[in-house]
Amino acid sequence: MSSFNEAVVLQVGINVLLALGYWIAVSTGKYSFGHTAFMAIGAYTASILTLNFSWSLPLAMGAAGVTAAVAGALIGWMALRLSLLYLAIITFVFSQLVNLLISQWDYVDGASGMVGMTGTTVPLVLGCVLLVVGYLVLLSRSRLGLAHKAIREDERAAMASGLRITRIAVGAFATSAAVTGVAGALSAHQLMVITPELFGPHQALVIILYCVLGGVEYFWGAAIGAIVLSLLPIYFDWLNEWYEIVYGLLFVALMIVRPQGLIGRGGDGGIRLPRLVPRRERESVG
Amino acid sequence: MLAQQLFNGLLLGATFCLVALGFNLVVGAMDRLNFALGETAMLSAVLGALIMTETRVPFLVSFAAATLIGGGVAVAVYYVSFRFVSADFPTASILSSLGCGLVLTAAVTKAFGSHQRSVPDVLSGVRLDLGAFTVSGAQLVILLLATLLTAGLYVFLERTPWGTAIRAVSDDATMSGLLGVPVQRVILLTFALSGVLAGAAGLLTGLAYHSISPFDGFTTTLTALMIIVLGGLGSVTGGVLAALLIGLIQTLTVAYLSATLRDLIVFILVGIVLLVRPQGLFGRNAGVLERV
Repeated sequence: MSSFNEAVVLQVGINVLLALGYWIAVSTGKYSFGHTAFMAIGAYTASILTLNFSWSLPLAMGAAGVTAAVAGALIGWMALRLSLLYLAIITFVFSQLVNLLISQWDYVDGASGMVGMTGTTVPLVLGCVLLVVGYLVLLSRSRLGLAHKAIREDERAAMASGLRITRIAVGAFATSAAVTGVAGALSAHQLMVITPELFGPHQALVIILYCVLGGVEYFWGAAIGAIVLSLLPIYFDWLNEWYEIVYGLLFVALMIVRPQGLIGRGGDGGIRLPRLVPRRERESVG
Repeated sequence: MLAQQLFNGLLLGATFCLVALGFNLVVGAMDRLNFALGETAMLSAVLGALIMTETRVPFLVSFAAATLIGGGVAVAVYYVSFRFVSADFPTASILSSLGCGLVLTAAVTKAFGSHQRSVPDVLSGVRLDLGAFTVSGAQLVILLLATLLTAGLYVFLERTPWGTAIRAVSDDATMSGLLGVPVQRVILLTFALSGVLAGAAGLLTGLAYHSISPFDGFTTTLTALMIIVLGGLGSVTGGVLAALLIGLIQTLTVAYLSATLRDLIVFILVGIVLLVRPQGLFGRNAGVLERV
């Protein structure tokens, strides 16, 4: 494989991991707006371990996943009891906090970043993707996957059916954080240099876009979204200059035409055009 | 020294307060957050500063222009990210307005460059010496305009028919609609008002720091989020108090501790508040977990 193709496969593979990791959280209907925090935690944990303690990469990736999972469980426990708006705010703030702390931390060279991580290989990335896909296939056929779906569709009904929704949602959030952390570790060892800026709000939006473009109903929707969106800028050079505008407009257009994503059913199925006169002003809950 | 810092903090808080009020107006009317409001503020501030340096009009004219631009952009964002976006997907308008924010920032950097833009000083000859602290001309202007806008908004909401309609819609949109309130137009009005406030805040903040960066939009949104979490989502009084508090904390941290700790202390404070009092420091409705 030529080195260009190899780089493309690595890039796409890592992005697919990010999308799948994010999807695990979304499968319970909990949108995080700061998943880059877990990516950063994973990337820095693994980089410190491989650079300063000369661990092997797979081992360091495991540690990165565990650290990210712990952070995810903590944040999930804090935030998932709250409603969507608060969850959005708290995850967003958390990612800013992580970013700030890393850029102040001299041990990892603060804002100038860590240099010199290598060792991400195609088999390693693909192995991780396969592992996560395997887990997701099992998950979507298990009672736990059903529970995720129930929580996503109607939290109250799920609670009334005896599901311990906070525990399940926190578990899903932690798993999601773990996968994102591993993806962060891989991307750190592919990019060879990491700065806190890499894990800023733009990256967070891109991860969300992978997921919502493909649709949140099936995990392979997220994977397809990630593949499409990571291949586009590679094969269309002009996109780089207009990257942010194109991605921003993509969000805007997608939310109007197909808020449920390209793949997946939206209530009555088929593409629904927005109503010019909304049917009701506000849904009253409770 | 302390008195001067306290004054500076309150001044910073007064500009924060305007954006936070804008956020709260929209949350009240629609129960949704407009994440593009910070970028709206940035865009109006950049254009306002541009008008001031290019045409040498008085500050008040460019200020008025900035508020109008802010109002216009907010209305545009409403149509793009809220009006035609299905309410069945609660995340849809969040993502869509975040996308709008991305586009606004990218458009400004493409059109005017990504460098910091300086904002000309106003009333540079004026300097009030009040014993314990001094007030510069620019600070006087900021204080006056921010107070005027906040007080004006209060009077508008409490004393005029349209203000009453806005409060009615935030209380219960369905019921107001049944009673004949033109809900869509009221929502449009709240967006326009929030944009006006954001535009004003953007230019006033630029005046306070003498410069504006096209990447300020996101920071503005972030600060406003901190304020509305601290003050209680949708609570106007809480928003004002929380804005002043955060302004004070940030200024005092920079003055007596370190500039790098500025955001950290606010983040930690907000985290603790979310854990202990999720309805916000000044929020009254304990049922916020159910409502929001």
